[in-house]
Amino acid sequence: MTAQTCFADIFDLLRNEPAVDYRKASRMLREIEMPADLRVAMMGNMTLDLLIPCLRVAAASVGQVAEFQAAPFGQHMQHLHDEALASFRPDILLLALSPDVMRPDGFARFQAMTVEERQALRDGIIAEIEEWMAAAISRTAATLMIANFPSPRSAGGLADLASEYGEQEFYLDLNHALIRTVRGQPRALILDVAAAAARVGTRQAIDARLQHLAKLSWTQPMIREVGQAFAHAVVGSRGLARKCLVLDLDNTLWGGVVGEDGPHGVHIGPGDMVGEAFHSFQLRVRALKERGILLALCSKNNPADVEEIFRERGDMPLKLSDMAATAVGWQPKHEGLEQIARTLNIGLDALVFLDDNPAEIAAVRAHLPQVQSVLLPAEPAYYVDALDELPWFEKGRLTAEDSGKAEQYAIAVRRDALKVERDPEDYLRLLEMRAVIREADSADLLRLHQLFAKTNQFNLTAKRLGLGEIEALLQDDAHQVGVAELRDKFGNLGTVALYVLRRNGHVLTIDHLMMSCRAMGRGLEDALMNDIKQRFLAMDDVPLIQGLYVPTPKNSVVSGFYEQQGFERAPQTGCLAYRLGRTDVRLKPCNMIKVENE
Amino acid sequence: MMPITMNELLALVGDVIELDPTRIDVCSDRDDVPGWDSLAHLSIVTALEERCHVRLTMEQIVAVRTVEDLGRALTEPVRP
Repeated sequence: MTAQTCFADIFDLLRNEPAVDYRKASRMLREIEMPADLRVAMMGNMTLDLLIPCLRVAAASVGQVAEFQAAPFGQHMQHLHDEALASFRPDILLLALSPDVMRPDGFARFQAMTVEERQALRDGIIAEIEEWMAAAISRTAATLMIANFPSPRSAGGLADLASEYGEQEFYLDLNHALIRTVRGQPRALILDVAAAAARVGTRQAIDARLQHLAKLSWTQPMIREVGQAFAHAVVGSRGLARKCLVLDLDNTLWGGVVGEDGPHGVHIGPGDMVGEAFHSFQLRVRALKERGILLALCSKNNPADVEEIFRERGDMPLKLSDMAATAVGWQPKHEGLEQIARTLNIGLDALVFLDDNPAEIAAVRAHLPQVQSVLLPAEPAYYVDALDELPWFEKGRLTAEDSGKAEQYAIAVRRDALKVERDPEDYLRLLEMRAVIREADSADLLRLHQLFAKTNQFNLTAKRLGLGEIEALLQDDAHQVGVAELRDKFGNLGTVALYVLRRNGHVLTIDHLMMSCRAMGRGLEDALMNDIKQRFLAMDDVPLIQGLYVPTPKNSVVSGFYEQQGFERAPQTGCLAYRLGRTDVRLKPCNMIKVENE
Repeated sequence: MMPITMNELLALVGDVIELDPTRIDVCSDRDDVPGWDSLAHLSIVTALEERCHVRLTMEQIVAVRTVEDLGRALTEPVRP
């Protein structure tokens, strides 16, 4: 079994019958031997070792082989200074604290406390977490995942909700304070354990016996739910989100078959129970678009019927204009999906495909295992839940590029209209492009991380750096990080390219150079290299500049890049390094883009 | 309680501690079974409870030493 099929099978097993198949998934995982992609160090005042088997399976369900280290009970501060943590080189630090174990005396006499004492209790807990976060950020390059706090039943009975700063209000406020604390740190996110407990139901999630026996009160169903939350957080923090949701139409976006029932015969919209279910699902899909996920249609239908229903049923939340690409016709769906990937210039592994028909899902899986194909449940009322439970669209936080993404692709269609039957130079001139190339600063951190995580084609070394590593580059004097922003007459494309230069004695090395696919084919790479060359020329004592190229299955488009830029392959270093001496530097003319350096 | 056979019980224990069930004897003490430490013990018990829809008492849980004990604890009458 290949790792890819194993991960896909585990993903399915967990969706279908989590309780039984969780151990089966664990067995399958033992059979594939792969180096770890993800190292997770766990600490807090619970016996977190008990989570490891489940979290390992959860990570595998999103394609990550994970390794774990659990700190001794209650040693979360000390462990940050432990050599064992440094040598583990964690990608994720998971902190799970139980407030009543942190402050047993405080909670024992909670009911007898004044409001001020209760607030001081809250402040003390948050201060301890802030202190841990500050130390964790400075001592490691990891992303921090901090568990929030499920609210226990109050000892104050019914009157608790009526009293000022009672126990339930205390927990709401504590979780709220945690949100505000974590929001301020781009390298941290909340692991929503409170929501996991609520989904399971507290009575089924928390078991007092387990707390007394093992210092972890979470039941198996709760641990599995936390595992799901962890899988979502892994996708969000590692930049593994897929770019595009591809939807079937009949019985996916509406009930019935438009080609037979007609635009007014299908079930969609309020006033009809099935129609309401599909209406809710369309609203949920639209919300994904607002989070920066592209939408596309892949359906076996007459294109005229599809155009008609979107025209006639203006009451549907989704419009044809929400779709970045469509493949409507009678060709097999795997061909439609390939066409969509080509149109959007993204990989098949950036697609999630949803369909209500098991045969279609099976066929797409057989032809295109890279596409994440998901079978919708039989009951349309559960489509919303099924979509929410997919981890594939999670982003740790949204950037300006996310909120404008659908608009970007709409603009791309207008640009393409300009391109028709024009020679390429004419087209580029008509775009009236302007670029700003400047040094990156901490405000660019999240976008830099996205570019590192998502750029496949125009990416010379295809190394995926984490937030912490990028932060370190920005602060290091030996490195220069540059970014390019591009706009044209149709709109702003945002920050679309980056480079990282490293000065090491007599050589300036271009460690990373990448450009988003939406900026490809416009000559921006020449402007970017001119900028790099000028920086190099300004360093009088550095005789040589070197560029690295690491071939991957996806970056062949840049295989000849350094040679085009006047570099020569360095013979003694195998195939990857290209060099250029000071006297051989030539800037390339770049007339189509007006470069405004800051 | 959902009934469970001794073979299923062995398979479940083997699954949790990641050991071939043919290498576990129904009456070997958990101290002598590789991987059956105190954390694994709790995982075995909670997996079994979920499978059989029962809950053992804390005292029963700590008293169980062997697979045979596990089977017996499941059928011991416990006050609801």
